[in-house]
Amino acid sequence: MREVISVNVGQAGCQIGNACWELYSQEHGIRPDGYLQDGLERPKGGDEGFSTFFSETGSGKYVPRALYVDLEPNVIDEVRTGAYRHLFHPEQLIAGKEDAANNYARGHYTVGREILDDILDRVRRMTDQCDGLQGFLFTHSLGGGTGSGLGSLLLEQLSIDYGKKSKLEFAVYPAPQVSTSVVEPYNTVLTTHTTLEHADCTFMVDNEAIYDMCRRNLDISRPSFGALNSLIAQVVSSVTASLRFDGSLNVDLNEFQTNLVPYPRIHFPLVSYAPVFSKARSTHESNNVSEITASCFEPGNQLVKCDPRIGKYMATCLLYRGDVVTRDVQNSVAQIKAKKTVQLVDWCPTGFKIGICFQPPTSIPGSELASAKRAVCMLSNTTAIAEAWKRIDKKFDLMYSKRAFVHWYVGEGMEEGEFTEAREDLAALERDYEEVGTDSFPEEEEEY
Amino acid sequence: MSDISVYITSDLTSSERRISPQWDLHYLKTKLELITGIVPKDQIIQHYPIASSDEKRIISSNEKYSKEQDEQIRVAQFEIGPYSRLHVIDTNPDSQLQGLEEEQVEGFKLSEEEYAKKSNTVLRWKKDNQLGRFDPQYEAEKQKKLQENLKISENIKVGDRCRVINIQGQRLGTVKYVGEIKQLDSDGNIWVGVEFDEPLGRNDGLIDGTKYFDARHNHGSFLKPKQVEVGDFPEEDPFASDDDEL
Repeated sequence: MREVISVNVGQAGCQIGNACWELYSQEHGIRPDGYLQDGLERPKGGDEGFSTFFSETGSGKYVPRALYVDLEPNVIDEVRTGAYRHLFHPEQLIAGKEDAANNYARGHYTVGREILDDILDRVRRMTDQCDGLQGFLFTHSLGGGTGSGLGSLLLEQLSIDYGKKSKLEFAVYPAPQVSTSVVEPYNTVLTTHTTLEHADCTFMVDNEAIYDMCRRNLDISRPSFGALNSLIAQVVSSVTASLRFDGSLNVDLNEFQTNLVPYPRIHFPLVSYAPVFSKARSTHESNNVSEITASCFEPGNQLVKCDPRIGKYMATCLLYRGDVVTRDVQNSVAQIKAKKTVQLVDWCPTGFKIGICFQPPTSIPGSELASAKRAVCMLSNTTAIAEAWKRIDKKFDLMYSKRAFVHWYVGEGMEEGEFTEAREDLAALERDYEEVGTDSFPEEEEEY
Repeated sequence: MSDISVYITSDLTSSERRISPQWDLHYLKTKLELITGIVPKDQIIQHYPIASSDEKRIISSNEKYSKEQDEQIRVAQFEIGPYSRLHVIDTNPDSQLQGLEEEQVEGFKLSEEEYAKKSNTVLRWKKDNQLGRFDPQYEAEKQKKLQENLKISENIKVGDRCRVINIQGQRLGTVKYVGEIKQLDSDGNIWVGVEFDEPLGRNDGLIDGTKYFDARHNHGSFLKPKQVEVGDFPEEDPFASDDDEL
């Protein structure tokens, strides 16, 4: 077996975790109490695929291979009392008493450190149940205190304890326009620096991009976290579908890295998803393979705001699910290539990988997202995503030039030098992306 | 009473948070400080009961600020409903928040030399593995492409009629410029400026502030010599096809 353990850290991480496990349960035919839906003999997805994400107890109950971690009790209390309370074992839900107050240093050094041993213990107990652990899937935010501080602390520790096991992240990246807290740029830069050498592949999600998608495509005028997270869950589900369902082009956790990451530091693929339509609009859309493929190249379908037309692609994975045939996919990819909007880096191997999982997307009752017969998630490692780092680095500089709020961090025992060290690493990351983008021979067809 | 989800906003921040009706006002203010960066004594808190409306009331101002007094006030008494909005205003003109929206600031600089010295970078990887410009073949390949480009461009003269075909179809026009364009590349490649007969170009001969030729608005484009075919391509009568149909 090839088990994958999900680790959800902090408020955003846990809430996205909730949305994901709700969706996974539905997709595999598991009831909120962990038992099979009526009429099912076995969980959907095939034993091999299913068991990567769920374990089976003696009594025929299925338990997610997941850990919820938060420094304050509220969000986890909701899991303990919510509709899915019986799905999880109490040991999987770890909450502290005192929150990280949006402060990386509290999550990483003071408050977070206090519950670290407890968390690592529980991780150990989960990995002990695995025959062939593939690795870990993290969900956390980069801007909050727990997600950034404790999230990076855990990633570091897992590197020490589990060596080369894959570590993938879904990370909520700060929205370009407004920050959720005034120190968000600090937290983001600090956590990115710490995790840069520990995470193998990081899929970023910017709340503003999701927010706009909800407003524009789903007609939700003021989307709540719930609406945002259920859309994020669909995307996460698409990415993990190939791991969870037998018969898909079998994908290993480490294949994301193999296919998408030419050099370890450059591990932030841009994620796009289609179709995103409200139930009211769905009747007007045909959503054939070529349409949904083309949609992935439109900025409105991206999970991070940036402009891929000015970037160069290192690698692209198109993960289809549902009623999709290979021939249609090949035609669609040929159409995209003919349009010449995709500029490739030509001095290192690049590729267009295709994955097909025949399980169609599942729509969650109460969600605005229309059900679709097929969907596609595109993961592309493009230099355009460097825009996101430039943006946050600039915000960091604005604050740090005045040393604003640095005392909040120093007060938690962090050294000021860590700010400059982290910022320098991010500056090097920006340079890294420039280096990837340079030296390619110009395209045959260019017009200005 | 359980927690309430509310939107917290300030000039610099906006987020969805949970607050507890059991908190006292001072505790709420310390929480708001950690989010907005505004210290309790400088806070004015406005409550917008309906998120979509501008209707508001002040639930706490900074006048006669007293921590002790705030500690006597329960948040419950403000009757803050779920998904309503609390907006926090900074009244201190000298607070550390001031000027954080300014665009001009000396950002962090990493010099070429410092970057080149680092061990774990894409630059080092390219050097170690002879990739990109560090590939011994790179320069030769570059020269070959340059020569090809020059050779083709020799047959293109200003004033020539020409045709450009790409995936979108065929466009006819007149060559207006042949030569280097520093704004597009510094390798010495030759570019061709074309004025199309129809408004199917990208510009009017202007690129990054330099005028290379005069063309009507959206009739001009800069292309590679390879893409431009010169020859006897007379201007098409835009009404010709309509006439045929009559």
